[in-house]
Amino acid sequence: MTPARTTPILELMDLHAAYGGIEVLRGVDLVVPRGSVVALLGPNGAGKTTLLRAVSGHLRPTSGHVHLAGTHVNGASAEKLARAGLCTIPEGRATFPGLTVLENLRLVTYASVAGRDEVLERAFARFPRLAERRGQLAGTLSGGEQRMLAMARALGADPALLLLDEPSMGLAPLVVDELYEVIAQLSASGVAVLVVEQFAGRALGVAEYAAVMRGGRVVAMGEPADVQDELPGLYLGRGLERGTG
Amino acid sequence: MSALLGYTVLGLVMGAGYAVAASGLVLTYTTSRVFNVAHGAIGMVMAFCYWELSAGGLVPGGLPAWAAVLLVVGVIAPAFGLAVERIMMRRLTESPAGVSLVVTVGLLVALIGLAQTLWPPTARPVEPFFGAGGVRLGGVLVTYHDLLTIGVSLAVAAGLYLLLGRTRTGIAMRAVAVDRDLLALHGGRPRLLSSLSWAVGAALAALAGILLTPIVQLDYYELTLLVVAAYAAAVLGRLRSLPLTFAGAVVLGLLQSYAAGLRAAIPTLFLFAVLVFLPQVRLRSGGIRGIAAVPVPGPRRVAAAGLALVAAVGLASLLLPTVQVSRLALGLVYATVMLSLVLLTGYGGHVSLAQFTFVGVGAVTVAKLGGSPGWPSPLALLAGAAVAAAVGALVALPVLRLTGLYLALATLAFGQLMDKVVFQTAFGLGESLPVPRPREFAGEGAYAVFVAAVFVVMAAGLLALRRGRIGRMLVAMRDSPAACATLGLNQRGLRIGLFAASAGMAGLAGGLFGGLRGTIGAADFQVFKSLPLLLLAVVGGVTSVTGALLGGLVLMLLPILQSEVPALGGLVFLLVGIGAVSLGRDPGGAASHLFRAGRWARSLVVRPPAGPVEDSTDAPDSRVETEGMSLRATP
Amino acid sequence: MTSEAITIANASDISGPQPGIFESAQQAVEAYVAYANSQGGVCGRKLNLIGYDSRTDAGGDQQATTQACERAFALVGSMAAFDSGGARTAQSCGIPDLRAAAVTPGRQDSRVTYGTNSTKVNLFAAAVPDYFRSRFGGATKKAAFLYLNAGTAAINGRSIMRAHEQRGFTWIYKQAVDVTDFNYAPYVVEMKQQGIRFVEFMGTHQHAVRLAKAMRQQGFRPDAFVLDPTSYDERYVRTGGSAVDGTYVFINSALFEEASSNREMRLYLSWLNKVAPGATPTWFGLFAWSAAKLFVRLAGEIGADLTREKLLAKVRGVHAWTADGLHAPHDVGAKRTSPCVAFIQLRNGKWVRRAPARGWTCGALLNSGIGG
Repeated sequence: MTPARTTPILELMDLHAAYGGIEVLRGVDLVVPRGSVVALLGPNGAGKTTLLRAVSGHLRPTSGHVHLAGTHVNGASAEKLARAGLCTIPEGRATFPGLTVLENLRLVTYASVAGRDEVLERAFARFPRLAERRGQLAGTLSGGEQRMLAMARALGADPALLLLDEPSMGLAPLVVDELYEVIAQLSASGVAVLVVEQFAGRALGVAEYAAVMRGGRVVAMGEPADVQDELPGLYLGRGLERGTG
Repeated sequence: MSALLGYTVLGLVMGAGYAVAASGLVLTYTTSRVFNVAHGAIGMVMAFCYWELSAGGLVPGGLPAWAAVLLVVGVIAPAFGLAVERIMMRRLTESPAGVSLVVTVGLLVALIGLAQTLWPPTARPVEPFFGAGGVRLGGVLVTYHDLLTIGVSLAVAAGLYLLLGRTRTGIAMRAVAVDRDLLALHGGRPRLLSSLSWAVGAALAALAGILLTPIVQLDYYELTLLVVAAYAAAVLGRLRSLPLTFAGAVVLGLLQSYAAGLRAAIPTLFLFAVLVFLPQVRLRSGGIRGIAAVPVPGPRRVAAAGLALVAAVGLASLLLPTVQVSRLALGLVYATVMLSLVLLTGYGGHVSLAQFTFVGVGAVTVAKLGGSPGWPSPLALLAGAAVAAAVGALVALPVLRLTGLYLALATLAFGQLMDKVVFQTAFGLGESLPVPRPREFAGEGAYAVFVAAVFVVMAAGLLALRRGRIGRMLVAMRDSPAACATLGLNQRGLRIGLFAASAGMAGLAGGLFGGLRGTIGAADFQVFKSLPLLLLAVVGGVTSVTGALLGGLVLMLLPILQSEVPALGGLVFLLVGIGAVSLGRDPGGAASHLFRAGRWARSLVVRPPAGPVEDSTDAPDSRVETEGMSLRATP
Repeated sequence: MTSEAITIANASDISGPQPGIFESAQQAVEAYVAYANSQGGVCGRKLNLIGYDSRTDAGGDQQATTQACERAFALVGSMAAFDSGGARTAQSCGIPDLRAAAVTPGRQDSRVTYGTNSTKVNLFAAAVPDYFRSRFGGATKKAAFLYLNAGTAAINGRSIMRAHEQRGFTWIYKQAVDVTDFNYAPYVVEMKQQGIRFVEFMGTHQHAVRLAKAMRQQGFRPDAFVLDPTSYDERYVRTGGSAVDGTYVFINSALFEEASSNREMRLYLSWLNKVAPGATPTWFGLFAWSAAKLFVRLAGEIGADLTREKLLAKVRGVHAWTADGLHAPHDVGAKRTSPCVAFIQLRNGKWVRRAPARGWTCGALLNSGIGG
């Protein structure tokens, strides 16, 4: 696999990060080419969420480099990155339960180039169910609807890079289907996506590249087909480790 | 009929005043999850600033009223709110309600001290705006100032409603209290929004203070405490609905106007009723952020330390002059009261704003029983504890389902009710009751040793409780009531028992207090005295006996310090307030610092502390130039 | 106490929620001590004064009294709002306690405590209601009494109400006002409704101002608005402005305004200014000065063989003490309220004497039966 010739939208170089005294990322190298979909896989505790937090600006790396569109951004604040075109949808609760659907969507305009009306239009066009429930508190929506609302941010904000943390967690298969359709649609419109999943199947179906993390490092990277064979071994600890030892 | 109209009009005016105060309170709560007990105090300081600018010496000739108002409400108050947010409130959003309450109480105390220092007491008359003219409605003169107050309150309510409900900034302000990080991911600026909400909140407090001053006149306490009536209105609005808050304030004003006889008790009754009867909003209680456990010493350590303390007190009583011995005894009595807070707040996690009321119940019981032949003094002390415990259990019943902030407010309401209704009758008017001491310990020195001994026994009992099954259950209940429910723990029984035990301990201390003083009066147990008690309990350390001892001694020393170093004056309050603010974030308080120092001194290898997540949301991005940066590929 | 000096103490409220409320009492005693020492002291013995702060708190009063017991011969001119705190301490150590006034019944009852402004809760000068009845006639049948519902103000209020009734007053409207109450307009409206023509208020001057302003605002002008001497205070005048014009006060002391014709008043004012330049003289301070004067007078009469018990015995024999015309005659020894009063009115920001032309009107002493 060779990286695209244009500047990758995201490049991580020997990234280290820790919570207090406990190091979680132990030298991560990762490249996300512009406009591509990269699936980030790995078992629990590998550091996937931590990696997303480091990229999105919520965790300052202890060493190494984070380059977004070629700019070194270690330590940049999350809000600046969000406004610059980075959209992060964290795992678990990604909406404000005490605000209505409309109010949640209003907040999208902080990061979007589009105005409020257009954001609403896009969201409601793609998710008619949200339109029906526009005055309802987000916390009273079903799990799937809440995730749709969160994804509506990606639709509205026109990001250059979308970070998704376990988007399919806890959702019914049909909903997951819809979700991945949206991801595909976004990718088709030029948005780069880094999607973290514990259960590889769906993600690999839509990804152009896949990376596998274990023990705080990326231990394999390549096209889905290549990586898929090695996955069980990588998850369970057997197999070669690539990258720095 | 015209009388009714007259009262209605007056009630509306009063309600308008409460509404402005309550709106600001609701604003800061919705946008920061901090119930700002010091809201009224901010208004008070700003009212003094207004006076300083318009009639004080600062500006020769004085600024015209409109200019002074604009300057204070538009510039000084917001700047002050920004400073408060920056220094104190930033991290409080995630703290448990108890900690944020204590910090704002600390701010209240600090502000009173500040006002007393900057504006020493003297006559400062304040006239209403537009002089004495007004409009006649229903036989009552409503001054233009009153009309202005009503108008302002409507405007404020409407403005806030629009701000919080319709504008993106307002929506983001509500979001930032719920999940700062998520808002940052949206591209909102949490820091800016927090600052904005406190700035606007302070401006509203200033507005309320300035509008109410011509009626109340400039006074450190009156304006500060006025807001307590507004709490009831704010709680009626569930601390988030502005229309309901406004309605609540109006109803409160009307009730006060119609029922002049019950005037004093109405805000309290209202608050209590609202808290008990309205369905409680599921408040986000905020996670308990790793309260570092304070080591619980074993029985032998406790016995040794206890004996040492009693011996030390005995020695002191022989060497020191009488007045110092009395003071030491008072400090120990306060420490005993603080033990009750260790149980309730430290172990149980509940904040009580009326602990001194239970002290009063115990003291009054001992006073009434004392001297009667059937009740030798030690027995009377226990009786005082029992009565206080019973009252504590009674109070716990209606408020069983309340937690955190609402529970604290309920204790406040209870304390006020006791003040105005029960204590007044118990003491008669202006009377004081004599309280006997145990005959064996009648002398000052002997009594001090007696108090020390009681303190040690209670502390030992408390620590034994902590070490045992009940202690573990209490801590479990504090950390996660939900988990306890799944375990089948009898939480109701445990909670009632907790309140009763804590009240009983305070009541026992009350008997000691009465005996030390010889006579007690209604003024000794006012709700207002419970605030410094709570404050210093937290500053000293509400999770440990050592903390209680520290807190008790400092509480006793404070007024002495304030009196003997008059230059310090209000600064003493200020320092206590600041101390509470900085130490209040760590419920372990000063004592835990001591423990930590001790542990560090003993250890050779310092383990890397596993602290909370390093969070770069608030870090200045000085190193990265992200201005104008965009990841989006330029076409 | 030595052969060269006598140490006395003063325990007054200096710090507290209202800093400095009775500081004037301590300053007055300082002033008298300076004056007395300039005149040779007490039988050639110098007077030393130790000032204590009772901190507007019963506990503070107890601590101050404890200290005074050990370090001073007598307590002179003290003034504390919660003086019940030190009552038992003073009594058990036997220190003569010659106060400006004893505020709480607990302190008033103490064997060792006397006040130059001797008042007993249940005793009241009949001259007060008599004067107002003679001046305002029928208005006293449509009278309103409001009082602060806190501590001694409440019990004093009730007693005074009853005493007035004994002399023919009819209180149509009675209202206890809570300390935290700030809006008096409904009370004023009620009074207007009931056709009240005479209003009397018992409470601090700060609260009196509120009532006066509320009355002015609502356009309610009773024939008379009457306050007790605690409102004879320049802060009442300054804060009240035009709203308090016309207020009546019954007073048992001379006026600061009459210093030119009152030698003792001149002494008080001038020596106060010497020890505390710029300090404001107050009605409390006046009685504290009087207490110090009484102490020095009695100690001088006893002579070299001065003991606490002898002093107390002497005090018990004092029945008509005026501090050389500084105030009305007070039965200090028997602790009885003075039956003599004068009446003043605030006119254009100045206190003006209304009756009698000079001195005080003395009458009977009423026993209200409340608080006795």
